[in-house]
Amino acid sequence: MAEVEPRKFAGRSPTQLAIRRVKKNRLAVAGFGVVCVLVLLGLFPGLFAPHDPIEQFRDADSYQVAPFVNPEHPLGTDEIGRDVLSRLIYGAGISLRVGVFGTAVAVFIGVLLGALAGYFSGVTDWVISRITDTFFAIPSLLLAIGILAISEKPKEWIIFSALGLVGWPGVARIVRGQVISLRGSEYVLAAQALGQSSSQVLLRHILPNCMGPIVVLATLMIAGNILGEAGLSFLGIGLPPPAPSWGRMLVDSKELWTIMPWMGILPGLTISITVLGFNLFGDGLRDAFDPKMRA
Amino acid sequence: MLTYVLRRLLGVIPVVLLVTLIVFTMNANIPGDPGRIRLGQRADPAQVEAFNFKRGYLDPFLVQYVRYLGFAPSRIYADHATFDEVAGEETAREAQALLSRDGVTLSELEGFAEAHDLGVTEFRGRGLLYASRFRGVLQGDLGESDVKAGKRVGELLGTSFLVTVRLALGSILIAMLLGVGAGILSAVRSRTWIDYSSMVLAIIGVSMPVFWLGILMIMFVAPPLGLPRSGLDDSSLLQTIRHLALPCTALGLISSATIARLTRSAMLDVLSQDFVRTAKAKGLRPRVVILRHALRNASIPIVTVVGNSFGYLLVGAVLTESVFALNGLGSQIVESIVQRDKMVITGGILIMSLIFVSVNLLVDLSYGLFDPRVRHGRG
Repeated sequence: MAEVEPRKFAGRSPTQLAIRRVKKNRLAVAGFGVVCVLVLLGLFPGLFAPHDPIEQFRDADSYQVAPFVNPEHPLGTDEIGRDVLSRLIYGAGISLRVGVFGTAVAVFIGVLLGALAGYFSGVTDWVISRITDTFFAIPSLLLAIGILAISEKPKEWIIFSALGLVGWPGVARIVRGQVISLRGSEYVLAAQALGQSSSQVLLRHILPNCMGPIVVLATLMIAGNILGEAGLSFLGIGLPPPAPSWGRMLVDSKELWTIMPWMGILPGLTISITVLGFNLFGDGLRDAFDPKMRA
Repeated sequence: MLTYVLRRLLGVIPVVLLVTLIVFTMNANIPGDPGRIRLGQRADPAQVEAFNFKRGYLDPFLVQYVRYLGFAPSRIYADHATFDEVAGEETAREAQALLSRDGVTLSELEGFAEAHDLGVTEFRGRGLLYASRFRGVLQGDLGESDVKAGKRVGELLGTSFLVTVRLALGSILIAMLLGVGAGILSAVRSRTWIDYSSMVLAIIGVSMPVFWLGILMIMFVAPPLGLPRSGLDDSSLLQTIRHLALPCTALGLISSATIARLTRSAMLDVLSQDFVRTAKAKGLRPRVVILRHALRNASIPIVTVVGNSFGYLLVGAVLTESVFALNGLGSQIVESIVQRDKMVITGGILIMSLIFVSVNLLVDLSYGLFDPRVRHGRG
């Protein structure tokens, strides 16, 4: 009888298990691919863009040229002769930064207030919950519009701060719920019994266990913020021209959609694919972190 | 049930008050001097100051806020367009006559004010007559436009309100029928091609900006159907429908995506519960199980979903109005931001928020209709 080698089992943390589940979800992997491409384009637009995003080409075979006609301008040029591909690539940076930083602001405020409300209950909870309800009651984009109206010429940081100020109630509600459900658990009571301070218990024991839902929500929120930024630019209250914001590209060519249909199609398609990428990835993460949610 | 309704109504009050506070604080911080905006860049600084004084813009923030709410009287000065209405025509005429006389003294004005229930203040050495009236949100008055002379905000927003309401109602109808239908079908036929294809369409719908769908419709749907590309024409019912068809479809389709996704998960949740298994085990037809057992229990989450998506729908309406050049509340607010017409911005955002709060209140109150347990349990 041959000696049987005891089989070795590699221990896997819940996070590792979740990553394995995401990898098996083809749609989520595709979404992650889109996100990676966007990050590359957004971080290093100069490496990929064939032209300067604000350079105007006035010669006859470049001005208002359709896609796939002039190889110099693979996606054509816009209403004043700027290279569409280059503008889309530089626009990725704007979308990405506004999406990510806007989410960061929202997560920071939301986690802070949600954790306080959930952990301390009583008056703290009541006050914070009423504030959360109030911010929920004002339609998000309108609140962002109002905040942006305060600044004369919106800069990127103002736009993402506005989106963050609008987006935090969703985070606060989820974090509050999570904290309340963990507050009474034995390991938290044990930590409290050992004399740890409230902030230690919250930061070291409760919040790390809320990370799953926060990460999922943050991913989906980046998608929402990219849509929000596009909407604000489309309304003409986003970054002022000549910034190559995708929403702005759509609205600036408004009068010409019928004769230059690519200007009505390409920026919108780019927004949709980007947001779809984040949504697919976020959905995948949610299914992975919370197997119960899967049908 | 009645106490439940009352409690919910009372719960809304602090939220509405906070909404007005946030919106009004925002308003106070929007740059731009109202007097300068109204009277022009080259206007006499003394006139600009007088304008701001009479409108109450020089008063402390809290005083302005309380007046805006209608808890404190606003002052309507004698040269204001509505002074006749407020003070009475005869008093107004006498007041004008008195004020136009040369060398009228402060004590004369005070005597007149006393006799006619008016007030007097002194500004830059001149006496000013005013009437005090409660005119604020509480009285249904949203103030006066800073840009368009003599226009009340309520008047300006009234017509656009009707446009937005029709757009929103048309869209929510499409969104509900399509979204709830697709969501239920997907849950019932879970893991079949129906489920997969409608969920793929739904996630595309969630990711697509509503204004882009609008642009695509203007480019590819309007010409073959002969539908108008933009604007609104209320000359006949048919014209109205023709003009609102595309905007409502665009906004309805986008909103239906969220509703379909959430309805599906709410329905799946119910379908996995024990009583559904029991009903199936009893040998009831699948149709009966779905309609009588599952759907009735999923109705509350579904109604909640629809109520919550109304917020997204209102935001979408702003963008849809912009694509299709409809003069709704959203367009009105955006235009006011460009012109820095603070009172219209404030009023517009406030109305939109109130619509949203009321819809959610109605949703909460409707639970009792759908589920008798709510009536007894919480009532």
